[in-house]
Formats: sequence, structure tokens, C-alpha cells
Amino acid sequence: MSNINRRLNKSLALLQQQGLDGLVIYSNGSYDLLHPNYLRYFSDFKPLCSNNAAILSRSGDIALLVEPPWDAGRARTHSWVANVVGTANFTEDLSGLLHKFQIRGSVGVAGLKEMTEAVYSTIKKIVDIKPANDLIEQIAREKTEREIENVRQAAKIADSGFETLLEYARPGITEYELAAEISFAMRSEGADDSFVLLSSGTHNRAMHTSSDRRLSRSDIVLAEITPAYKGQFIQVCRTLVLGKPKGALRDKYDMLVQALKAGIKQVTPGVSASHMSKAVNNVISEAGYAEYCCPPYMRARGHGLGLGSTAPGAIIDDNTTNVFEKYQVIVVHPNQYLPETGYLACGETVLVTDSSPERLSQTETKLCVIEV
Amino acid sequence: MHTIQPSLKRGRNAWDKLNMPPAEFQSRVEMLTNQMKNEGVDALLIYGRGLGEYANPCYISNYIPEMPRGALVILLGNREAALLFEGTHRDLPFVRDITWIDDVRYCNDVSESCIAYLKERESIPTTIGFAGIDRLMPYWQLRAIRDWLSQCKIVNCDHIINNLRMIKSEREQAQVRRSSRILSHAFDIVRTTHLPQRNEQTLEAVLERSAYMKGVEDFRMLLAKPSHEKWAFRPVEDMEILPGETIIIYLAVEFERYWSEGIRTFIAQPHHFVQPSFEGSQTLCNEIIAMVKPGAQSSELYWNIIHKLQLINSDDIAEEYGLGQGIGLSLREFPVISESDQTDLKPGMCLSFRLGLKDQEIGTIMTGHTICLTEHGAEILDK
Repeated sequence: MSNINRRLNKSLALLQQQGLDGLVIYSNGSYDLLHPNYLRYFSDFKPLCSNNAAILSRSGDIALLVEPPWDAGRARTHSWVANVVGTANFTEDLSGLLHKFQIRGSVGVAGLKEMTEAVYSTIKKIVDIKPANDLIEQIAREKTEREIENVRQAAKIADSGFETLLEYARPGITEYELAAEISFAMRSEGADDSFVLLSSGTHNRAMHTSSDRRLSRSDIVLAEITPAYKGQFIQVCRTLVLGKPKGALRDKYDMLVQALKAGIKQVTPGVSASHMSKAVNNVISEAGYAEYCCPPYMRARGHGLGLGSTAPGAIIDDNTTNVFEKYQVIVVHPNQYLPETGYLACGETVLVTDSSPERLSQTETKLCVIEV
Repeated sequence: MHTIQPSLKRGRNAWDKLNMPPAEFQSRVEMLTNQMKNEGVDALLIYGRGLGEYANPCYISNYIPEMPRGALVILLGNREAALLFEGTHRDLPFVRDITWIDDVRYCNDVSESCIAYLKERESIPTTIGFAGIDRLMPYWQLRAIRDWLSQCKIVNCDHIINNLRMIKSEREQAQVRRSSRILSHAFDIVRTTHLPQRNEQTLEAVLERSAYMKGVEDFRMLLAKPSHEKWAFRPVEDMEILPGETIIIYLAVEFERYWSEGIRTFIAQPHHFVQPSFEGSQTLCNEIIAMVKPGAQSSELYWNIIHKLQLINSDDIAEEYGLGQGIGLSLREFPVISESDQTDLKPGMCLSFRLGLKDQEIGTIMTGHTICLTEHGAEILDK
């Protein structure tokens, strides 16, 4: 069975199973690395505009509603959904398709939280809305070989981004110029999106988008490098220092690397994601920084990444109840503020497998020292 | 034009107070609060979200969301302002660096945070104005706010902020000029750069890098190949550009919050691109831009241009992509050059203008510019 039919057939089976008359998969055209894009995953089409949806009836009628109308040709090229409808009046055409496909009663809606009142109330007038993110998550849970290949390709691109960071991080370059070089390297290798946070200073407070600060000798440079390949994000978090590391920086970073290793060990099927967080926090706490294992000194110990599912979630901390499952893509990042060093970035993305977690990037997690 | 949204505004995010001093924002607050007073509005909630619809809160605060999340400015009649943004504690120092507003709060959900802010003030305003909320806010947040304000009179105030944003101050015009210079430079690179691989993605990577190195916050590109049947603008793909092929490139850059966009037509050579003069089309384009002057009404201008294009059988491209609209903090602002927009064109308006003409040899030629309306007519900013 092709991947396409797998998605369609599984959706139809789940509609039957859940007693739903139809499914609307909506996208407002924004892309958030912490959240899945259900429409893109389901249809293979990445929308341009703020209102797009796939409409599927229980009997198998399906359409892809695309705004603006001139983008419909691209949707026909990329999506397996043959019936693409370009629209300049989304709510009217959405309503028309629900009527045409005779979708009444209860309808599952994925991407519900992205809807504005105009879109939501259009659907609500016709059918009874049931949130259906879980329905797509169930399908996305089983990753195909092609999806795994895309994950690995994204990891290669991330490594290239990191190598570019090492090549260009020198006193005098601005943060935004350095970020531009990293993005250029990754885009040249086929990244379809590039999420790069980059901060510098002798005592960083956090990571943020690049400013016009110029790098100086003794700076600690933090980079969160997150390219996407065919919609699949991968993340590496790296720290480098321009010149000889001062004070306890090397020791503190080694401690974070130990925390990272302890966290990654827990990333196996059936284990609660909170165990990963606790393993990371244990190492940092034992080093005397228990009071720093909470916001604002850190954000989360990791999160899921993916196109159709970011399970086990956008935040993995000690309270996360979801368990790891095979083929999930997880970034483990003991990114941490320490009083002696400031904020440090340390993180790797792994693929959950039946045996031990598979580390995806080839570059080493260590404190990188640039001789200047 | 609509473009693919990135997951992050990853360019330079800085507030240059020489280009846009706090006094500029204070004058906007003054104009807004005067309008609020005229319309009997006690408090104005100004909402924006995502990486394309944040212009309204940015107009007051200078804040832009870096990720696709919401932001809300609460402006009270006494000129007190608060900025609420969806983010985390760690974002706070950075956000404070790019806004003049002292009361800055991070939250998971701006509707909850807005309610908490109004509760904290203890006196609920009688009449509350909404700007951008009905159109952009997710329905569940909108409903939460409306429920909580059920005792208040809620009025739509989109027009207040839209009208103010339409006419750019001298400083705003200067910002659009700055972004237009970077845009022109990017088009120069298309003409002058030797590309070993004529791949669409490679071309985009080169142009994007050039713009980011000049300090833009955001960069967008679309491409079209008019010799193809049923062609349309689209994001670049991993596809070769063949020698002799005509390509139409749409670029948009955002520098210190202000956008500029343009369109040019090129013909691919083995290792570079040439931009033919297309004399006839340039003459027509100049004639049409000369029609854009203060005093004309948007809809009149629309019909005058459409009639001219109908004479050469090229009006269908305008129907597909539009003739243009206001540009500034957003790529799509008022006025819109359309049959339904009755706005009078005035000095200080910045417009994005696009024109497509059929050509027997090439298929279609397109050109587009960012223009600024002065008392003497339209000035092309991205020459």
C-alpha cells in the first residue's frame, strides 16, 4: 500500500471507528517547529496563505481547498489529493464542500485551535465539531522509511550548519551575519526552512534571534541550529568560545554533556518522557544546581519534533506523562543558565528505536574552542 | 503577495532609535488616543499574530513576534500602554530591548493575560475597541475575551489604526526607502552573480544571504516561469533553470519592521541572468505609474489601469495577482488598488505596484515596484 493510500485509508477507518461523518484538516498557513502541521502532513502540500483545508467525507469524497486561487496548480503538483479547489472566498467554499459531500452530524477537525471565529462559526453552523488532532497523530505515529530518510537528511544539513558556525564565528562578525552564513549553508543543501537562534556574550542570559552585536574575544557563542528538510525539523544546540575558556566553563559544560548523555539513555520505547527530564535534572542537581533546574534558568529538557506529530509534546519536563514511542524524533537539550558561566546550549536530536536511541547528527557535542 | 511563512524571523532583530525614535511611537499613541476620544472608546485592544499579521501591535510597540504566536497591545485613554506577548520568561529582556513600552508581559495565552490585566486595573472600561481581534485572533481566545467583557460595549476599531497606518510619516517613508535599497541590491545580484548551478533553491539561498547580510529581518521569494503552461508564482523548488528560460522573480524584504517588494523578469543565460529592457513594457509601466497620484481614488485608478491593460489583452494577470496595495509594516495594507476601495490617494502613502503584460516571444513580462506617493506623483523606491 502506498503511503498516500495509507493516510487516506487509515483516516477513513478512524472516521468509522470514531463515528464521525467527516474530517476537516485546517491550516492557517503558519509553521511552528514545536507543533505539527497536520494539513501539510496529510496532503503533502505546504500552503502559502492563511486559510487552507482538506475535507474528507466518511464515504471517501475528498477535496483540498487552497487559498489564494493562483496557488491551486502548485497544490495539484504536490498533493496526492486530485480534487484541488482554488478559492478566493474560503468560508463560502468550505461551506459549499461540506454540503456537496453531504457531511452532516459530527465532524472531526484537526488544526481547530488555529481557526479564527469566521472559519469556526462557518463549520459550526453546518456540523457538530469534534477536535480531531489525535486522529492525525495516530496516523503520523507510524513513520515511513521516506520520513525517516528525511529526518536523516535534515540531520546532515544541521551538521553542515554547525560546521559553518565553526568556520565563521570570529571576533568582528555580527550575530546576524553569522546566522546568515549558517542559514545560507543549510538552504544551499536543500533545507526548506531554517530556524537559527544565535546569541553571544561573556555571560548570556538566554538564546534569542540574532542582534547586531559583534562577536569579541572571550565571547561564548550559543547556537540552536534547526533546519527542516521536507518539513522534518532536526535540532542541534551548540556552544563555542572565542579564545581560551575562562574559569569553570569547560567543567560546567562537561557536566551538561554528562546530563545530556544521561537524558538520551532514557529515550526508549515505553519509558515516560519525564524520566529523560529527571535524568538530566539529576546530573545538574548533583553538581549543586538543583535550584537552577526550573524556569527562568531553563525552558524544557527537550521536546518532540515532526511534521505530523511532535509527540511526546512541545515541552518535556519532570511532569510529562507521555511515554516515548518507536520512531519519535526527540531533541534532548539540557540548555541551562549557570551563575558562573551564563546560559549554555547543549543538545542533540535522537530517533527512538527498539534498542538504544539513535543519535542523528554526526558532529560531537562538546565545548568548541576557536583559537583567536 | 502571499508567500510561504517561515517558522522564525531569523534576521537581525534590533531597534535603531535614530531611525525610529521613541517620540515617533508617542506621536502614534497621541493620534490613536485622540481618535479613541472622538469615538468614545475607553480602551483599545490591538491584536496581531504570526509572522505576517503582526503589524497593528507593532505600529504601537515596535514588537514583532519571532515565532507564529500572538501579541496584544492594550492602550488606555490616558495613553498608558501594555504589551502582552505569547512567549516565555527568557524572551522578556530581549523584548524589552526592542520596545519603548515599560509594561511588558509574557504569557501562554494573550486572551487570559488581557483579562488578568484588566482585572488588575479594577475599573473595567465601559467601551472597548477591538483592532485586528475579530479578524485574526483564534476563535477560542476571542470568545474568552468577549465573554469576560460581556458587560462592556465592544466596538470595531480596525478603521482607526488602518487609517493611521495608511499615511506614512517621514521616518516611516525613510524606512521603506531603506528596505527598497536592499531589495534593489538583491535584484542587482540576480543580474551580476555568476551561478555555477542554475538551480532555483541555490538562487534563493544566494539572494537570501545577500539580504540577511544587509540586516533584513525577513526575506521572501517567489518565482514563475511564464513559458510553462498554466504558470503561476510559487516558492522555489529543487529545479534547474534552463538557459534561455524566462523567469519572473518576486522578492520582498523587511528591514527594521518595514517591507519593500518588487518583481522583475529575467532570461537565464548559461551562468547568469539578463534583464532585457522590454522597452514597450517599461514605457507602459512608466505611463501607468504616472497615473498614480494624489487625488485619484483607488477604484478609479484600478479601472483606468484595467482599461489600459484590456487594450493589450493583459488584464487577466492583474485579476489574478492584483495591481497592488499599501505596503509598510505589512506586505498587505490599505489602500488596495481594487474596484471596491474608495480611498483617495494621498501624499505619504507607500504602495506596492505590479504589472503583467503578455509578450508574443516571452509569454509574460512582469514588473513590480514599491512606490511612495508625494505631492508631485509616484516615486519609485526600488529602481
